[in-house]
Amino acid sequence: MEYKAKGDSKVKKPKKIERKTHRQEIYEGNLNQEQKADRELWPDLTHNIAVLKGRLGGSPDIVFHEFVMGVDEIEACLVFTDGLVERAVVTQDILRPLEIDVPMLEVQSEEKILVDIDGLVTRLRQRAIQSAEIRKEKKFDVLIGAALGGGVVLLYGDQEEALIISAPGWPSRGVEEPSSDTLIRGPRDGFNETLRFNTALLRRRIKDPGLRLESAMLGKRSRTEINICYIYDIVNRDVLEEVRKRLKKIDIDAILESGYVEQLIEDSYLSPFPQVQTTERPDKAAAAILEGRVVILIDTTPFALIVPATFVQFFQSPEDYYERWLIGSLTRFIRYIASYLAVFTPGLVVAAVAYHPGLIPTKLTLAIAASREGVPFPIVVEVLLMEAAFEFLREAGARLPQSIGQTIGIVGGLIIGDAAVRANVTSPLMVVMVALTAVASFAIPSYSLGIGFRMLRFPTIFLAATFGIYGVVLSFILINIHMVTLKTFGVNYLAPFTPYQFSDWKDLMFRLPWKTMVTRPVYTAPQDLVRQKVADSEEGDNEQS
Amino acid sequence: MGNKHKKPMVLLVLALLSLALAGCWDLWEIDDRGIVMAIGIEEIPPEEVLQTQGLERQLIESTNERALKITYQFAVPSGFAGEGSSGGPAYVNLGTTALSSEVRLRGLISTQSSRKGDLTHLQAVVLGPEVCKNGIYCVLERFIRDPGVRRQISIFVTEDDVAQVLDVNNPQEPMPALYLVSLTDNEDWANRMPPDMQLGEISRRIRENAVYVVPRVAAGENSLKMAGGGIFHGDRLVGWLGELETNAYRWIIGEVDTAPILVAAPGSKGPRRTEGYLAENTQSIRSVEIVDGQIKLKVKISTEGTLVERQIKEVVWSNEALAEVKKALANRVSMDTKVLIKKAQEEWRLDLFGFGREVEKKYPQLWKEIKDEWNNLYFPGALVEVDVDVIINRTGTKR
Repeated sequence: MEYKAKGDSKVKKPKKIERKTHRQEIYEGNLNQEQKADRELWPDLTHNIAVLKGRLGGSPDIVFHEFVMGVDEIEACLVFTDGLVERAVVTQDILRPLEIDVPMLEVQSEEKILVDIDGLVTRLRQRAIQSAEIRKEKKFDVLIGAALGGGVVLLYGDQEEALIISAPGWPSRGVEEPSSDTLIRGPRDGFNETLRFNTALLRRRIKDPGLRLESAMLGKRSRTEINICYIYDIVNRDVLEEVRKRLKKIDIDAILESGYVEQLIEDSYLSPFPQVQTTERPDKAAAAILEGRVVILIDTTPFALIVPATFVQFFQSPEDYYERWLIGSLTRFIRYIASYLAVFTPGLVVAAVAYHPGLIPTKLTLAIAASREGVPFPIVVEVLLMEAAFEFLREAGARLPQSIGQTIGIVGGLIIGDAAVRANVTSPLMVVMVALTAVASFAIPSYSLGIGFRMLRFPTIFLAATFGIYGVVLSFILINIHMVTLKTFGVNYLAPFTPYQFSDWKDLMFRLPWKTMVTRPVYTAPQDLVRQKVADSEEGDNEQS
Repeated sequence: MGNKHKKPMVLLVLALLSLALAGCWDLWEIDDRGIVMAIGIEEIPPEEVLQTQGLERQLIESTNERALKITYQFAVPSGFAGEGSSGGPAYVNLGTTALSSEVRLRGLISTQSSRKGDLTHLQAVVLGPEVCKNGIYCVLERFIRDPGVRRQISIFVTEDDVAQVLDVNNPQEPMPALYLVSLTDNEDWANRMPPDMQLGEISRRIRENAVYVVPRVAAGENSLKMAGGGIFHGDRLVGWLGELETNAYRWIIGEVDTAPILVAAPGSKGPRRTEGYLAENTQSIRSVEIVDGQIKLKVKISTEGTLVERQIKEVVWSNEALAEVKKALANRVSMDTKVLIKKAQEEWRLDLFGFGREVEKKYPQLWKEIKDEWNNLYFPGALVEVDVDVIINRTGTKR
């Protein structure tokens, strides 16, 4: 028996090796040696069709439509993926002309059009096919890629070249209002899952010829198209070069969301802080491009990436710029305060209540002591319990359908909060504090930064529980050390706080009036610093007044 | 090994050691703390001390210690907090006896209180008359030295029973300690209270062997009254300052915020028709001068204020009438202050007002010679000149 088992394992071994080659088999099908050399088209239609069918397998969504065209009844074949092409385009604009219009033309003009490929292309472009994009291609790989990516491949006759006619038409969402990044005042359109729509939304905002899009394919199997967008004469070239370099290094099977790319190109994956900004808003992306940043649009996701993203950027909301500057400044300042509250409130409460009640005003001390009366847990446990309860509620609410999500809010917020206090499990003060930190963490416009802050809260609570105020200060120092050393695409994460760049402070804690925002941020090092020119006449007016 | 790593290693060790400075062993949760709001201290009369036996008796006899009765006012949070309160009292007073040398007062009360006493929120210390007469330094030393005690604790003296002061049931302020402290806030509206005297200030005055006034508090049926003060020299109580004397005292030291004065209205006969004056901005400059070998104490008081009440018939104030009122006001103030200075010179023989410092500033050489005999000899023998300047900013409405 043992011997047999050994024998079995010996048999299995070569099987494993076979598995490795199996991948290639999928690509190349069960082909003989000669066929394996099939890199380019043969002057043989049936053979070419066989090669394609072999490579693509028998998937039902890939259509091989064979037909004859012209007076000479030349055999031809259309290859495309059902569902990824516009059916109407295929029938109306490709098949109809080829099967009916062109033969009619030949009959009328007694001229043979469909003899060679060049003639076909010219004729098709001139007379028949209305599709915008037609190109010739020899390589099987490219043809397959096109057929799987919303193109129609036209193999015809015994030609060594085939035509790729683009007729993309897949199920897609319309342009809708983004669900994240919502604004009270501002454009309502948002990116969706189709890259081309997204680039169009950008173009609509920046009609400058300097706006360049660079296309690249990412993902071995997903073959996701990404576009790097920037303005040629504003962008920081170093950052652009770095983006290209990092994107080039990505070698992954699939990119299903921009998060894949974000995490593959960010500087520090250990940091709790996001180093790449994401947005669903074309206006936000356009603003970033105009500041000399690089925007990466990725097909199949509405979330665009903005690099380099510094700390202060996550406190900016497009609305700061749309509303008048006083309002913008106030709201932005509130966000900074909220960030401190979100991180340090629970820690400070723990430290003050457990170590230094002398720091609290006397009457408040008595109020806290009274509210803690009868609560069986130490303050740390109480705080952790409540914070954990909040995180549960948030997570439960986030993953559930909206209608049930509201129920969770009521059950969690009202019933659990109130009942827990009545049952003496927690004190009303704790409920107030948890609510305060929760609201504060949501007051930060960036969801990912808000989560980062909420995470940092827990180490701060632990430090406060072991070292008191000293622990809170330690936590503050550690967070600051980390942020100061952090860099994103060569830009300091805390810029322009540090390194100190005073001219950029016009758009930092406060958002100064547009008339004073003459330059683009210096810390992103755009090639062209001048954002607006203050008119001479206006200066004259100012002098007079 | 190498010197190369020595420096970072030393730094690292130092950094790690700093972690041991604070830690969870310092943890003392708020609900485990007995928050002491006020402490009352009074000396136990000798006849009672004689009744003690055993070790205490031996200690008292051998070391000449003073036996003290100490009352701790603990906050009872559940009784304090507004709506959710159980309706119980907001405080509990626990008394104990101790020897004056027993600095660790907080340990003593732990035999009675369910929670260890925490002095970080201590608001007030009330001292009984006997303990004040015998010296307060050895009783206050414990608070002065404790880093966990605030320097802003208000100190009060009382002629009544200390325990009674701390057990006043006032419906306005459920906690006597907070009641006491809130009274000191009214100082600017009530000229009969001496300025608030806090622990840090007292510690300095004791060290300087200075003369100062500590607010006096008296217990009523269900209220406390803060008026007048105890005069201290160094750490001993030497006399009492009456309510009106306190008024004059504040005029001299220039600590008058709002002080009503009534004087006879111009043209009216007798005190029935009066003018009420409310000082709003008062300054007092004390100085000394040597005239013909005699020390002369000069007080220059300048005050600005409003005539709030008006009882004469004339519609418009004439300059003469105003001048008359001003003169009456000035007379009134200078008379009051002169009386007080005279009393200080003759009865207490104490420089309550800090003229000594002025001598020290102006005649440092002379001060060195006379400072030991200043209160006894030179201050009582000095001439006094009071100059009052009244400015009336506004005249009030007619009644």
